[in-house]
Amino acid sequence: MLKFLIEKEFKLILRNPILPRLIFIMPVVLLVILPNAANYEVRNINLVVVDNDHSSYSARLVAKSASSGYFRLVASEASYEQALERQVERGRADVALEIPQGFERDLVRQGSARVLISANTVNATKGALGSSYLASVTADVTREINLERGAEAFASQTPTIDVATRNRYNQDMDYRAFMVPALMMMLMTLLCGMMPAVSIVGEKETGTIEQINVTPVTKFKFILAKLIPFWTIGYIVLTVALFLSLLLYGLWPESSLLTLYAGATVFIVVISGMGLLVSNSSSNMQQAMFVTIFFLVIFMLMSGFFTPVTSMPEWAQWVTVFNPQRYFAEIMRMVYIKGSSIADLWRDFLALGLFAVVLNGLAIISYRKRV
Amino acid sequence: MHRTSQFAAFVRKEIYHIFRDRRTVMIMLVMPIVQIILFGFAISNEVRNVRLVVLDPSRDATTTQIVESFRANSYFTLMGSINTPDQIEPLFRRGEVDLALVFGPNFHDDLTREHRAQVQLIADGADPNMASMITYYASNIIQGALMPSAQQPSVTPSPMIIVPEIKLLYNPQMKSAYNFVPGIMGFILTLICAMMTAVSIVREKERGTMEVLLVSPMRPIFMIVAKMAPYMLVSAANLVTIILLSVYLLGVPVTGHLWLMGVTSLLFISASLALGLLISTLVRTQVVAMILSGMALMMPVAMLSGMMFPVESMPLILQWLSAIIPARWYIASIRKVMIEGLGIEYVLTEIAITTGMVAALIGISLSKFKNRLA
Amino acid sequence: MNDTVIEVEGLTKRFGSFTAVDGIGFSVARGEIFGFLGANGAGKTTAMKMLCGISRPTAGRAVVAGFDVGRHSEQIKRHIGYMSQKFSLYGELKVWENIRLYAGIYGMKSDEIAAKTERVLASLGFENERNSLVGSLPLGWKQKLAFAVSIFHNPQIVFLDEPTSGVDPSARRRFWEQIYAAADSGITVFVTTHYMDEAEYCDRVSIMVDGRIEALDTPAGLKERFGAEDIYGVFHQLARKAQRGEG
Repeated sequence: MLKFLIEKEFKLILRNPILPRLIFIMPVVLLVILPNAANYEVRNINLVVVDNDHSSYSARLVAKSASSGYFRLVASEASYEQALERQVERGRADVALEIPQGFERDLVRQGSARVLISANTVNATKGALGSSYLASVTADVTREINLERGAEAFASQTPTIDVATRNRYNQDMDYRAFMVPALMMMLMTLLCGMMPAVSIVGEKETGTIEQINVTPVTKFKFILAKLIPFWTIGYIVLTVALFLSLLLYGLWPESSLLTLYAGATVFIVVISGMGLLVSNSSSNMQQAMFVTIFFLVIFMLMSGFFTPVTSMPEWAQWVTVFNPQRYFAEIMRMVYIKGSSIADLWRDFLALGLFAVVLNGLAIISYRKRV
Repeated sequence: MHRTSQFAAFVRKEIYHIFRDRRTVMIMLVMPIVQIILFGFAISNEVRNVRLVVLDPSRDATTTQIVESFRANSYFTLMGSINTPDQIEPLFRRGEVDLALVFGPNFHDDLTREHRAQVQLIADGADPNMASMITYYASNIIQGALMPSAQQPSVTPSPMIIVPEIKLLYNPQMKSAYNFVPGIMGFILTLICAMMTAVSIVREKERGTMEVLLVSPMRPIFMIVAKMAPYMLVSAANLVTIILLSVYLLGVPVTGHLWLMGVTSLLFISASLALGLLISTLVRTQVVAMILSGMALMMPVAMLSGMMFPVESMPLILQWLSAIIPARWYIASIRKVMIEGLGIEYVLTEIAITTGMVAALIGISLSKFKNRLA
Repeated sequence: MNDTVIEVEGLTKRFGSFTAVDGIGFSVARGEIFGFLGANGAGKTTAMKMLCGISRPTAGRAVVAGFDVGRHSEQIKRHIGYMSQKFSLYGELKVWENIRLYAGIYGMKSDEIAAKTERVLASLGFENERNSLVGSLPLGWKQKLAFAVSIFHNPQIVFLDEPTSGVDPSARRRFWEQIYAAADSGITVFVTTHYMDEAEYCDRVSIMVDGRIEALDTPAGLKERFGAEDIYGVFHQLARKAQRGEG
């Protein structure tokens, strides 16, 4: 019996004017656009310099900033206002360094001088990091100058701690390597979460579901027959995305594909169970679509996809506990970047497994053959 | 007169039809509230709850002092100590730790005898931004921990200091609201006006009820307007909610003219409705209408409009691409009027472009619509 | 061998305070064509849904094909066929694919299905439509096909819910020929309709008014009792008493 039902589902999907194409178009569009749109990359912080002093020390500070490796010197402007208006406001520069007139004089005569660092915090990460880096560059310059001026005695007596920082994984600091695996989670959610709404509510609206309800097809078999095609679609989407990201960004998972597909298997069941649940309780497509979009937006924002879960306030972190996307985004990222195994990720797998059982259980219970 | 009352009856029927579906109406009204709360209070990039492990073979006064200052810092959570460097890797792989603090074996001796000691910070670099911020914060803490002992009697000649004065331009909280409040407006209006209209008109086509309506004495254009009326009503309610929330909850004031916001919103609502109408004339089934509006409207609005990511930091080609999305112009004008308080002369470009879009969309969809009927 | 296939006693369905079906009772014999008449909203479809096991009765008892509708609704479904007023084959599936799907659901084997499909298509004169999408067929053809599908698995009873609505008279007549053929092969036919002329084709007719069965007899018997020329006259007399409006 199941065989005939599954056969029907596949035929219906393949004959849909848009679904089969969507399975390929959507990964391409999302993978090409999103990693570029959502580029929070912090390499190459753009710096604009306003040097009002034109002294050797100010030139040195500018040169040191430009050669520090953190910054890309995009422009020099004659005034602070111009720097803000022409560079920062237009998004060309992230940080502005202003060296006031009399900088060198103050430094030599009074032993201290000020510089002004202004950071654009629209991109909060870039702004915060940029200003901190710039501050440490000025500290380096100070030390150098002091050393030259014969303050070696001072410098050598000050205990110094050499802090060596090292990033484990993703040493190129490629933000896309972080974004793309989670994007695959998004893709699977969109396609596998939307499909059930399309297929079940569609049957409700055309009335074919009524016919099925008077046949001996059990709820379990009906739901299972709906699920299996989504599974297949999920695998196809994932595989397409896997190769696309290799092609576009040169990314490939660090751990075995087995771990990746195991996680995907559980996640598809979770997400399509969620879709089934929504469509069971919707009588028309508009309703199903609306409920789906409502939850998708919340889940997406709360998944750690855009901003880290650990950065959220306590209450919001509790909300994410009930978000299956959070676990799968984590699995995808760990598998891609760190090469984690199922044993490493058992908590995420367990959470997803629980979601799968509960959501699909509810979907079967809430699918009513009789009223 | 007769025409008007007939039209009013139609509008009433449509409004009644939509409001009977309580759940959809509820979601339509609650959605902007939830989004404002999440964007305003849950989503952030700040460094918090950094989970730290320590490898400290030296266990001397200085290392203890440094570890203590991490313990006292609210950004860091000390997860425990480890004994060998090999233990770090599995912790990272299980995602249990964000940062490892590794002291050299003779830390204290090195520091007192050679005035120089080594410490290593190993960060989980999966999220490169977080990693940079975390290591930066951590190295500040390490340096800061020794400050008191570094205050030794000053030695001549006195050293020079450059004091960096750091100014964060734009209040970050305010600045992100500057992006997301207009973004949410654009998103919600697109969703309700374009997507819902498209799907609801196609539903009537799919069920065949459209033909029944079209043979009635009502002119098709009135029928369409009547169908759109309830969505306009809901959109207006949403706009009011969003503005109230942003003023009273987020503290983002409306600095510009409300009437100007009203005009641009009305213009954008017309554009969205026309888009919805156009989609409905192009497709036959609800499924296709849904997917098409999702792909062609929702996704670009969410990704490229500046709601999630600042448009300025996108590659140029994506900035150009966003130019064909009506929501982008609407969001830009709301940003200027509502947040920056600029007058009409600053949003003329946006208004002109949106008007052009409305005219083109209505023109195309009406001609398509007539062709379908002929 | 029991000759009664449907046995109904005091069957009732309430939705809140509204009683859609109000304590109806009747029985249907094997091979009979049983007409179930009533105005829109009289409760025909609700009553039929209870007999098919997709709606749970509020009170009363009904046994269909030997199974109780309250407790064994799933077993009932194995032994019945159903065709609804809302055309419900899959429009995006081909003719043979729809047949294969439903036959498969009732547990028939692939080769058995394939062989019988050819016979049925030949008897319907559909040999050339084998690979047509059902959605592209004219309505009359769809209905013929839907009926053929509903009895493909040889059910004991077939329930037809206003099967001929929206079809022209000649197509309706041909459709009734199909129904007779099915009844001759021993399938009990339970049919609701609002075409009064069709009532004449039934062995027995029941007329529902406001959730109750007001009359139940052979068409000839009904006409005699109400002194009417045709079933429409009978129906008209009864329907005047109705409290519920249309729809």
